[in-house]
Amino acid sequence: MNVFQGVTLTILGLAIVRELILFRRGPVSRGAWLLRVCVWLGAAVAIADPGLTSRVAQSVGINRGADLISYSFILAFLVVSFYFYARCARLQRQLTEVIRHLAIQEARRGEEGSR
Amino acid sequence: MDTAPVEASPPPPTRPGNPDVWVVVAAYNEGKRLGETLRRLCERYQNVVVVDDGSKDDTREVALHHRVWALRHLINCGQGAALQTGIDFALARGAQVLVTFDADGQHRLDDIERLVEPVQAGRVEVALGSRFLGGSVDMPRSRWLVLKLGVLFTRLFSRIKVSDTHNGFRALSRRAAQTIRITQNRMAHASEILDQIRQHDLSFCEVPVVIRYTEDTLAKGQSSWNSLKIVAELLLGRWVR
Repeated sequence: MNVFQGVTLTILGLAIVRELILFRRGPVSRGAWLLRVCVWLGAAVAIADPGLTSRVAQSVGINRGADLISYSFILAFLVVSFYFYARCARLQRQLTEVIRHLAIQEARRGEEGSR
Repeated sequence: MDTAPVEASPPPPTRPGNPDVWVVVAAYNEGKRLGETLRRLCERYQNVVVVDDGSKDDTREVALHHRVWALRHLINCGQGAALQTGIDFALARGAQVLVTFDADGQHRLDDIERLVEPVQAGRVEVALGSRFLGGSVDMPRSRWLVLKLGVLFTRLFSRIKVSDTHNGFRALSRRAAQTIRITQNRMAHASEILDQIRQHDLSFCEVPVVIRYTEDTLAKGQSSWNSLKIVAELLLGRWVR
């Protein structure tokens, strides 16, 4: 095990421990929790055994493990971008409704020539 | 670029103070030009709603110097959002016909009656202003090209045949205003309205109107490149609900 593996595996191990503590402490979104745990575990396994990504890549028709990781990141980036865009758009609509409500509540009638 | 004679046939007689007609004006940083627009509007219409879309200048104060309803968005939300606010307010106060009118003086007052007439007569639910049937003064060629591409895009995307897609001058019946819900806060709302007209099978007609371009309105108005942003907003808006 080299230095990089030692450092990153320690960090990932702590992240997984933290997830377990969070799970035991109280209510968590199970889907999001499971996704996070899978990401930490996946990263830990790929770092601990660098040859594994290459073998997985070759099994799906990609030559190099690095390419598999690049493609996975591009796909994840698109999914996450779209998720945040949708969330931002929903938030913007809700904010607009609040602003609209206030605007209508505080409507004022102007008077000709008033200043 | 003048696309047609500016002075069309004389306008039909107006009905001053027609209480059924509400004119909705969305304004953002229009302090300089809004006063003249409102002065002319108030001469003929008793129900005018100005929605100040979070302006940084004195737009709201200018509006309050006239006999209009002045509403204010606390932050800038966009023209589509401002129009929907004005429409909601007018509907709550019993509007039967709603007209959307630009704050910057691009639209002619005489054209309002032409737009309102087919709606008030019950022939259509929506009357859409068209500068390509009416006319435009000093329209740059680049704007003309972008608008024509917009027409083509709308025919493909919204499957509605109109000659002018991004004209903010339109009249809606009460039913149409209740049916159409603008969710596109910014400039894509014009395409969204056309989309909803088709989706809800609302009857519509196009009415010739004249749009007058000036250096001011061109500088402040949307740039031709914004059309790409509008297309992106519209496409993403369809996926994101």
